[in-house]
Amino acid sequence: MREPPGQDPLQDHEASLEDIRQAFRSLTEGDMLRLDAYANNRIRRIGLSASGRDAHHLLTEAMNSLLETGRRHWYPDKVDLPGFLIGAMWSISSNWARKGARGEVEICETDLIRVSDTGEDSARSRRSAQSQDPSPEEQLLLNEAPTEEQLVEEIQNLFKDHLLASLTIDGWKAGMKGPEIIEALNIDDNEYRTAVRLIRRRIATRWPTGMPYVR
Amino acid sequence: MSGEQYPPRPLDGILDGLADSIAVELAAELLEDARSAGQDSATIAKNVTNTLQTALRQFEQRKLEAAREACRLHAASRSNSWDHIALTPEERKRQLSGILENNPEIGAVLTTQHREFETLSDSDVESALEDLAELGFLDDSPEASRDK
Repeated sequence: MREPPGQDPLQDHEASLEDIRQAFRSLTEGDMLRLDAYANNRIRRIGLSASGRDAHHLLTEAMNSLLETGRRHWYPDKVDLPGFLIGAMWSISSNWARKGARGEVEICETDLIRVSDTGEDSARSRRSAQSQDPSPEEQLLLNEAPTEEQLVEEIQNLFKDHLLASLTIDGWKAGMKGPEIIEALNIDDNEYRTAVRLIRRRIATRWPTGMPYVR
Repeated sequence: MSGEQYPPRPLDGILDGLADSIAVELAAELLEDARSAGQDSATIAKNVTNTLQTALRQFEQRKLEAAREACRLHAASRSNSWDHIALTPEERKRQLSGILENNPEIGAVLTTQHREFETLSDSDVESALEDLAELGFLDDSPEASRDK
């Protein structure tokens, strides 16, 4: 079969709108939980740089970046839709964090009225401003929040009875990734995964609505 | 995943470790995570579905709206141009003749397509005028074109 003009037969197939619709319809409950947990984790990770945006905003931005021409390219043969959205959420939230670190606050795009039909980045409704001081309510919440050291200590205390989980936390704190921890502790992948599941579940049980923000 | 540009703190490392595990964990284990935290996995899944569906629907609506607008503009411009086409076959032939006199290069193309100007049927003339109207050759009134 002939390729459409401009399509390189050696190139991977880029998803069409119909591919996206179909992949969306095929998402499972497990996929949805993964996306939700990942989005919440990233929002928690970037802290105040989220500037009031929540997991819903992050997920919406990731989906918009997939749909809008020229922003992100999804090749379904390489990665599935949840994998693509997770990568997009990581990238978008990291960008928010970088801007936050520079003292810029980006107004939440999904809350703005759109004026561009193509929605490409260059034409998008996007504004930046210098970050503002927290509101009195936010200040009150911050005053009641634990310090980072207190929160990390509380997390570590959850695993006093489990050496492998405790060592895994130590590795994460030092910026190590799974394969490095596996190698350093001379354990196999299954042992690491089991320890990580225990960590996730105890943290989720301790803070069912998500870990607190820190001062 | 790694590669954040800002300096990671111990708490960031823990959150990154958790994020990496969420990205690769089996779906059944994530369901168990939600259950053990007392969360309603069906409600979470429904909320995520709604978020993605809303983004998809809004994008489709924007696309549809853009296509409608383009169609409306095209129809409006075509309608305005076609208003300048003369009403009777004789007037139309005179109108076309006037345009061809002023633009001999178009005459060459038209006679290549239709051999002789004199042999053009009324429908050929009308169709040629419609094409020329869309190209902006009839921006003047039929009378003005005839006078050229």
